[in-house]
Amino acid sequence: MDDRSILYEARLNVYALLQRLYQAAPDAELLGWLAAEHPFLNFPIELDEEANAALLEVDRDCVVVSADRLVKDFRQLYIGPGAMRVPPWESVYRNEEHLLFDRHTLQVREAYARHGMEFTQIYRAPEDSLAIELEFMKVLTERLLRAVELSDPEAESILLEEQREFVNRHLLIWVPQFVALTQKQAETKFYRGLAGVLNGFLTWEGQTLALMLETA
Amino acid sequence: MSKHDDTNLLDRLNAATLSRRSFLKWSAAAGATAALTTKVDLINGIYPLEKALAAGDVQIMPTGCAHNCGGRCVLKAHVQDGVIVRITSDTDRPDDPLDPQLRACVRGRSYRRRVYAPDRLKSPLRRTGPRGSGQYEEISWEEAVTAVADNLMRIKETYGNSAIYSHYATGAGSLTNGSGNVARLLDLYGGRLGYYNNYSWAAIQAATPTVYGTQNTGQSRLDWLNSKLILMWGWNPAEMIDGTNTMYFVKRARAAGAKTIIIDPRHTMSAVGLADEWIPIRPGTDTAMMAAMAYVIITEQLADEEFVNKYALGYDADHMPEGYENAESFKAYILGESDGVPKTPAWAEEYTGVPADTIARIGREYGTTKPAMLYQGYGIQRRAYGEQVVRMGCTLPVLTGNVGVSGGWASGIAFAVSSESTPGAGFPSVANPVPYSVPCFSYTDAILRGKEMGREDGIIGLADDEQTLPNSIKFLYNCAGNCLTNQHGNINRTHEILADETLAEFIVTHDHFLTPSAKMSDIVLPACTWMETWGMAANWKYGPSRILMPQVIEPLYGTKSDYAIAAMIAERLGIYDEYTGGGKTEEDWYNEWVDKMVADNPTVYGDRDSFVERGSMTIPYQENPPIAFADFISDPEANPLGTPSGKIEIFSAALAARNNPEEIPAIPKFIIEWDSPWAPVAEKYPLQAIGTHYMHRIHSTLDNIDWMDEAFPQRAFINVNDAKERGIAEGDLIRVWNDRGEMKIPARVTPRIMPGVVNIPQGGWYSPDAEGVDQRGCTNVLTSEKPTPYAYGNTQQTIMVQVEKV
Repeated sequence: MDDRSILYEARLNVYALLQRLYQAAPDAELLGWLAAEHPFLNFPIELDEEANAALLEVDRDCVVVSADRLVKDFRQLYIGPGAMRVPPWESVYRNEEHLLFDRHTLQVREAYARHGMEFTQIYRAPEDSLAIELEFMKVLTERLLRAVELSDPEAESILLEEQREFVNRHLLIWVPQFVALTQKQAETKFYRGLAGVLNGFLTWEGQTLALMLETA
Repeated sequence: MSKHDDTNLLDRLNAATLSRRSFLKWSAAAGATAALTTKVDLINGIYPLEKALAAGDVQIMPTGCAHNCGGRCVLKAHVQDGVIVRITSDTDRPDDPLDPQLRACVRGRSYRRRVYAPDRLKSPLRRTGPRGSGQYEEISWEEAVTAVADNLMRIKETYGNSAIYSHYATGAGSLTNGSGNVARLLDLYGGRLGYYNNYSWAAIQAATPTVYGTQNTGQSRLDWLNSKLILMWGWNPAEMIDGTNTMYFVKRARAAGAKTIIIDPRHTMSAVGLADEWIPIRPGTDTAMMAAMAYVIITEQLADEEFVNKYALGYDADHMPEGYENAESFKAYILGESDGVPKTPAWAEEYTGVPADTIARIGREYGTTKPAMLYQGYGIQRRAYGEQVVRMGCTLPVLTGNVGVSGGWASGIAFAVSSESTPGAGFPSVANPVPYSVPCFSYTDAILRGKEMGREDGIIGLADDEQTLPNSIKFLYNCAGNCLTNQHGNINRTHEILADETLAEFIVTHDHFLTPSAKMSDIVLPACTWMETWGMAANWKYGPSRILMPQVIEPLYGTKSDYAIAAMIAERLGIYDEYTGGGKTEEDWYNEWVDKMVADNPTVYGDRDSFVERGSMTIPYQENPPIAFADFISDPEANPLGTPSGKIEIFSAALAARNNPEEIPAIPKFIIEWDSPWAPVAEKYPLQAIGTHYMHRIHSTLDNIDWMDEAFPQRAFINVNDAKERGIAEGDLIRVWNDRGEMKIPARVTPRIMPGVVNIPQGGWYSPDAEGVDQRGCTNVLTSEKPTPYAYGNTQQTIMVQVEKV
């Protein structure tokens, strides 16, 4: 496996983990796996100091916290009913009105479409939720791996360019606010820490993608 | 990529940030677990790129705003790739008194904030904590509608249909959304305890016919242009919207020469924009001022006594109804001949706070300016003796000969005569097989002690041998409304009643948000907004118009219209075909209604395509609109009124027969309210409070819209003098309380309100802290559930409070 593939695979797995954990609270099985395998302790990427502290915070809580407690916190934070503490959609942070479905939602929809993807709930829910944006990054990373496998540098270049744009024009713009709000509102160390990991990882992504494209 | 120096890539990315060894270890681990399986939200390939690139195309779709203010307005949704990006209104055609614009106010224009609010209900919910706790779990539609249907079946079997009740609710009025869908479902299922009255104008509806035999006592707004004087009594059309474009007609009337005077405790938006003069008055004393105006009109020989005695009964001793020849006449009451208290301007000043010479001047102006209108607002009758102000407002026009004349106005407020309605269409009507009805403002009593409630509580429909209702309410349905708690009197008492699961055994709500009423429910069903389904709306009261509301966007998050929800329940009750007319969708009904309207009224609607394209329709006004009671005035013998005597009844024998002269007098009288500055309660609670309609919202609808809150923050409006006495400065957090409840709310210190009066605009969503102190300014923590004596109407404007700085 060459260096590029190693890098892509690491990124892919981080995206897979984060996407899963922001899609829904972990069930008992996943929580058991997190406690046994310590993926946050053995994180594949050296993040900044603040994110390192966050990695430790999540890892420690995985052993202690109950799945029920995480479900409760996740629902309070991101679901509701009624007002959730931290709306998990990009548009809420990007327009003055704090609404869903604004032009950023349409931009995200367009980005997905450029790569032949469509949200399963299109028109019925906004596609700029954190979990879906992470899924998009995950799928593009899968394709990067495939591009390496097929020795298709042109595709690789297009995919990296898209990822850089997406991280810089979307995730890195709103996620820091989402993270700050989560760290203020979360009742578990797990979700406070996870937010710190997300922030650190996306910062790293921004730098990494810039560097990778500089080499082009 | 070929140019990449692959071998050094990781080094170049800064060796310090990468840990090659853990890459591999972790990658393998993550890849190895099935626990990390995710739900796939993005699917490949079906989204055509051209569609995304064409996303700049904006389609403008007609729809409307059909909430329960007095207006029904046109909205235009600008839709780009399935998303509403902008909302405009009926502004691309000129305003014209014969066909005025149906222009929406800030409320309708804020609609994107409602549709796309992050905190909309997205899934059916089942309660997991005590009622009111807001603790819920998401469940499937299948589970939710089964729970509703099972409880309906159980309660019907255990108690009978009269234990089932669907409360007054007007949060949505677009046919396929709104409480009518549930009423129809329950009626097809054997019926329900009905209700009568509403929270808007119960006293008007009950008391106006005691004078005129009808509620249709007004006329087209076009006729206002013929008036010389308009007394806008407690009437604030600029804010509460009494007909979509009523402000426009008031402006036209002024331009045509009418003088407008506002009598109101508040210097309202209407006082600012539509009035020549503002006369502040203490709440609940309007009848006293009107009585003193009558005194001036009578004693200064301005009364048209010939007119009065020709058309009305009860004015003076010589014109009393048969059997009541020796009863107290109106004139005797006003002159103090019967009770020794002449209702002079000086007497009225004591109560109203309006200087006696001002009262006398307004009395003279109204007595001498012809024709003149005394037009009342609604808030002045949502009070302890709301019937009296209505009856007095019907009597003054008789004294001054303003009945049956162009530019005049027969009663304070009511529906207009004339052809001001457009033929419409709707679901086939179903009769309610259960005969009983409760006044809606007494619904909590029907939960608490329904089986003890009889005629004296306002119950109607009892058979001759029945004294009380057969059941208390056991199944409570709340579709598109917040009157269960938030908008009902005495919210703390209401919560206690609803919290008791042995009383109302099952409560279900349909809504868009987890409102205070929804929080008292066992099952909450997420309804889509009307922008997500098919419907239509019609004008209320004024302006004959129809607004088509075709589906603009898909229902979000799997929410459903009230119709679709009721249809799912109907299916489980075995009445699906009856309910849906053989499986019709919202769109099927909509098309059927439009077809029928166009086919039945080709001259009104023109051809279907252009009607649908236009999306709304106003029938142009008649140039010379009919005048209420003109036929009666021209020939009273041939055209008697619908009253028992056929005449205008200033003295009502029917009311006299109630044998409660203190609270239900046969002639209109000023009665001191049970909670007032002249009642014992004033020692503890010296300030009067009112809860007016607010530009922020339509009742409680839109209270959660944050940018409305920026423009119109929820505050307690208090006079500078009252604030100064209490050391309260602008913006201070204040405590407002009485024996019923307490709130904390920021103060708005202003000279634009009568001293001694605090206004807490009604509709704030009840938000108690741990001690039960409301944090949002929900007026109903302070109000009473006691109904008016005759109409059984709501009395939520009769409030006494104390205020202090927190």
